[in-house]
Amino acid sequence: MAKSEWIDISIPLRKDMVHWPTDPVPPNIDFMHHRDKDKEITTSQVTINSHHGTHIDAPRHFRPDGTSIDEMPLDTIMGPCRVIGIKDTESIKPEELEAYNIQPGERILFKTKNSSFYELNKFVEDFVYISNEAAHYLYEKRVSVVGIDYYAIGSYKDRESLVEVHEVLVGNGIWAIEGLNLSAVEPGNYEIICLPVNIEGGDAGWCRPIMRPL
Amino acid sequence: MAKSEWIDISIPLGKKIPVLPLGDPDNPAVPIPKVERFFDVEKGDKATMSRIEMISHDGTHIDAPLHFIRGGMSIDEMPLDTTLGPARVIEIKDNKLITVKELEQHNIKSGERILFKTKNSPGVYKEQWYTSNLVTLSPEGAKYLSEKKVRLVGIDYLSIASNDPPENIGIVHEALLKNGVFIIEGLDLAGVKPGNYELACLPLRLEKGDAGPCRALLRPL
Repeated sequence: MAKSEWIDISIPLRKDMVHWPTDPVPPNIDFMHHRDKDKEITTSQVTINSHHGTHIDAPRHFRPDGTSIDEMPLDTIMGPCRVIGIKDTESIKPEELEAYNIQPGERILFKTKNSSFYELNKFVEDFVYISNEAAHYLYEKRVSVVGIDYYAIGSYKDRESLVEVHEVLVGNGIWAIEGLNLSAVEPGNYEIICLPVNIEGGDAGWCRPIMRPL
Repeated sequence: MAKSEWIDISIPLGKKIPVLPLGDPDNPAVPIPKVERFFDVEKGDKATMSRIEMISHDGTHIDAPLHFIRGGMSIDEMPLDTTLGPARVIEIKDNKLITVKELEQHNIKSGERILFKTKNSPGVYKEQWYTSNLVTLSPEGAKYLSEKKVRLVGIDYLSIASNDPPENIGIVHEALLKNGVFIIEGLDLAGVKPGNYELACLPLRLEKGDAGPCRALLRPL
């Protein structure tokens, strides 16, 4: 069989994984039993919050009446997508996006300098984020999905902007994939499969996104 | 957009699904799948966020060899195409066991992904853990499937093996996992007819994990 063309663009879930510094529910992942320690089976306990690791934000994350993750149409994150390489080292701005002729219904993943931060194994506060203006721009373009290569689509340092970017995109039905690692991926066109775990009434769902060149 | 052809064959994580107790079901030290909103926009918070407490074998999930095999492959090492591509749903008529005799009728080939739709569907997820009338894979059936070199086996219950007697659980799992056959447990095949499908299913990337919760979809080929 030919080597799989699929590229894994998720980040691993583990005990000491990097997470949002003010997180009230830090990840707690550990073995309950381990086969290598003379137990008959290996099993793990996993206590994490819905926004740890690679995950999809559902509209319910910001809207009381918003669609929850178990209600997401299955085609939302299966199919063609475009990886756009962002040169700006501060934020994603409409000026940079205008060059890309973004079309309604597109799935757009942003590859920024953030992808290199995962190697540091610590939270980097000044990651590249989607600016308020770019959020409005993407909403007006009616994209279906946005993805970013760090733990949030919005700014860490500017909380008002963080909320506004989520409200404009996620609150308006644009699904956001956060926590992508795009370091192995060049900008261009791909097929993506990225199914969130089915959490009843969930505000988000962890996922295992993979892509292959189109 | 056209109506999706994809059929969701996973069960949701939430309060209503059965619990998989590893050990004593009455032991409160064993975590249960628990979903709790610690922030909620309905209560005036800026955002909704949830805490989820579970074990690696709750809900629809894939068992990796490490679950039973010392030094076995972990779930993050699973080749991505194990659970992506053609799959066959086989209907099992026996109301107790998946036997070699019944498997022999299906001309199972090397490399196949086989999902068993049994009499467990559709009522099974309303039942309690290990009721006496579940259909499970026999030890001989597990050996047969691993000799056929299938790549994946799935079943419409939270465990592929009966716990009667208790050592049967290990015997059936080991027969598959020691030969590198991955197992999807917790499928909901009630809405699916036997036949050939494309499977799209990937486990969460739990580093060095013994299993991974997954979302599983089928569409007719």
